[in-house]
Amino acid sequence: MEKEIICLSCPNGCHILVQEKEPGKYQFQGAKCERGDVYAYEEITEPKRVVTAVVPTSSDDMPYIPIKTDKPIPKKFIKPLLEKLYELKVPLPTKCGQILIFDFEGTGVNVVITRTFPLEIQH
Amino acid sequence: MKERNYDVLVIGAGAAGMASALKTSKQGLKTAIVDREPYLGGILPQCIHNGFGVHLFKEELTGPEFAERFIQNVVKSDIDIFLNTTVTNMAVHQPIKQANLCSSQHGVFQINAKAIVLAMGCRERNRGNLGIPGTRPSGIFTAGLAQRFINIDGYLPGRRVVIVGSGDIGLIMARRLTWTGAQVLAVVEILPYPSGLTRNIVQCLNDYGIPLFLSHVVSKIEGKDRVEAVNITPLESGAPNYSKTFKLECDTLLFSVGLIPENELTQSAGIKINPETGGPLVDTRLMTSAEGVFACGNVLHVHDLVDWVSDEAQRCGFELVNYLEGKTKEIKQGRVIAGANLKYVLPNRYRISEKNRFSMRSLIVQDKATLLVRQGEKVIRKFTLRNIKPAEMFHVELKPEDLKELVVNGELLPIEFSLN
Repeated sequence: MEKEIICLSCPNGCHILVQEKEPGKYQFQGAKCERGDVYAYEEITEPKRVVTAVVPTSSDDMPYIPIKTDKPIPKKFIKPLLEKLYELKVPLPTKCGQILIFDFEGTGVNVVITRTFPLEIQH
Repeated sequence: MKERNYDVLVIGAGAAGMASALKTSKQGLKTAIVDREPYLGGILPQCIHNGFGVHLFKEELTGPEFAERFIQNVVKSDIDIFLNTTVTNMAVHQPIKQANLCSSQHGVFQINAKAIVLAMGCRERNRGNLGIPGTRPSGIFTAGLAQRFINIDGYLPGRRVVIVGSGDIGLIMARRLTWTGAQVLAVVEILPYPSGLTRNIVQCLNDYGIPLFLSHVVSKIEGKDRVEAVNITPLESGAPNYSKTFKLECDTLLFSVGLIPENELTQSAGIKINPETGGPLVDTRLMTSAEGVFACGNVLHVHDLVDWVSDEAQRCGFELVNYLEGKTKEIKQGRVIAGANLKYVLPNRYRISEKNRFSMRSLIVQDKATLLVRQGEKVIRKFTLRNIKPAEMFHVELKPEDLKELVVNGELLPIEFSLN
């Protein structure tokens, strides 16, 4: 088996040639960094993606606050995660990096808030 | 009118404005930053997807997180911040520059500054720039506006969406709309290759089976009050073949057809514009044709990665400090020419006193390309580049030793870049 995979680890978008020499044994070619091989292996075995979205807050000053998964989550969990997120209401204030959902459905993936609100201007 | 005095006035508080203001403020220059929006960060807070900061911070951040790295430093610094504030005009051809501003908090006021940084960013091209025939119903947006509606205001712009143009914002919005429950029927691109980053084609379109029609155009928009359908026509040998036109029923049309540096303020101040980039012409110090006025970020040329914006803005701040300290007031510079297969090379001047960093865009798609730097017939430097495409800007550096030979009779001769 031979397959070309475009790495999504960063905007470089390396083209990685994956060859399955024998069942379960893969050889990777073309990545500029080691993350490429890890990505290509996962893409073949269990593809994952980082999910970003916004969740409603309880304030009109900042009606929605952005979130992300702190690591890529298996694709099959994307839909259930989005459905869960749209049911939530986030209390303010928020802090960038604060965990909103811990270990979603046993995936080991946390959902974290990505924007601090309100901001304290010190002068 | 109330007047305020600063060393540096930075116009725009996005990625470019914040990075340059932090640099000048850190060097002890009294700095003001102004922005017309009620928050710092420019476009970044609405770009909630990840992929920012890989080069600058060596980690993958979302837009709001990337912005926050700078915002937290700006609010802790001595920089004076003016939000909800618009610059209406400026007088720049004098040692102390004047800008007229207005805001609901301060009314109409004036800022006097020794130097100005233009960091106003860019805006989206829209339907008017393309001249698509048809009716004028509601439901037609630029992709960035739709992004703002969803990510900041929480409104869904439509349910069945066609996207015109395969720029990054359009691709990101295809996935974003899918995740909010809307159906994206197609992305239509006039060029034979996608305009956005390859990774976005993969993770935003291919992942969700959204078709990408290359070499196709939207030839008609239908609908009375709301968009009802669009006609899509393939291009064959550069001309639309209307016999192959097909119709997609949809309620929303998004445009992601390129960005234009926002330079009305620049032009009205009499600063020269480079027609290739739409931004001001700048020398090796990133200084415009008006002495003491600098430019960086998307107002100078449209970048595809914010990391390069921050990097350029930091250099701009650094150059500004050197200029005000009198270190680079008189500097020997030579012209830079964009030759074969290059859309532009920036900055438009080079120097031999220090290293030069050039940003450029290709006109061609090539797996492996050679970039030649010439003076007359003589090739002075050769670079081998991989995966060259118009959508992805690339950078090269020239050191003083590469350029030494270019001085003839004390004059710096023009250098020309070409790609093949």
